[in-house]
Amino acid sequence: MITYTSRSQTIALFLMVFSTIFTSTGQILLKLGLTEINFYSPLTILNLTFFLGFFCYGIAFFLMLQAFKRGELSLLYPIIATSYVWISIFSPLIFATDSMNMTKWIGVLIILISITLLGFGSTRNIKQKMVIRS
Amino acid sequence: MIDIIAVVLVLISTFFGAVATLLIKRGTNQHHSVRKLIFTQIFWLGLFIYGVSIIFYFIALKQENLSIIYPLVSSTYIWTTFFSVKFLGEKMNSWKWFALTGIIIGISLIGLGS
Repeated sequence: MITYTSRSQTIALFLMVFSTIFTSTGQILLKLGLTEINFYSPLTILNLTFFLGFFCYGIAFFLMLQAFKRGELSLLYPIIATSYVWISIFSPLIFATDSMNMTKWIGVLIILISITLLGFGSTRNIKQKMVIRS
Repeated sequence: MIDIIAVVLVLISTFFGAVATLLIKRGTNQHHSVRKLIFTQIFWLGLFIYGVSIIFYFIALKQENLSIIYPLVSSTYIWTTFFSVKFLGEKMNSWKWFALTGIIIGISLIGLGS
């Protein structure tokens, strides 16, 4: 088993949050790009928005790899849930068909609180290990 | 009426997704440099299983709406946590379990509101 320092895990945590920003941007761009595609002229699939969407996914994946080597999976993986927060907040501003409501806001709030707790919980583990060592 | 096939498809999808994540995490543990990592078998196997997971997910998305799909998708956090403890020797504590439950409830609420 690998032990990570508290500093390394904090960097990993922020890398994961950045990764979710790129995943969400990628998703929105792919959806925008999809509307530019005309099925009667297949070359419209080569539009810039669609390409940028995939590019964002690539950056997100790279950031995730960078995070993974710096921390525990049980801390980092659930942070992916932050992308639900970004999408819920930003997609109603971009797509006329999407909207925000009370249920979604409560969901967003609970996710944010939970991720804070998760970060806090993982520092508790590290502190316990330090006590055992000293 | 809930489409049972869609439910099973999502659960299979999340399970494969967690397996893929575990493989890629294992890969990053062995090879710290991404340049070396992309030449390993475990990395490409992980990516392939991700692909399989996404195909199952897309099929399920066509058959059910988000209020059913989202709560089920969050089962991937349970699989991944289980794998982290079982195969990576990571420690859980009550804070982390509580946070995980919160994340699942939060995602479910966003799904219900959609």
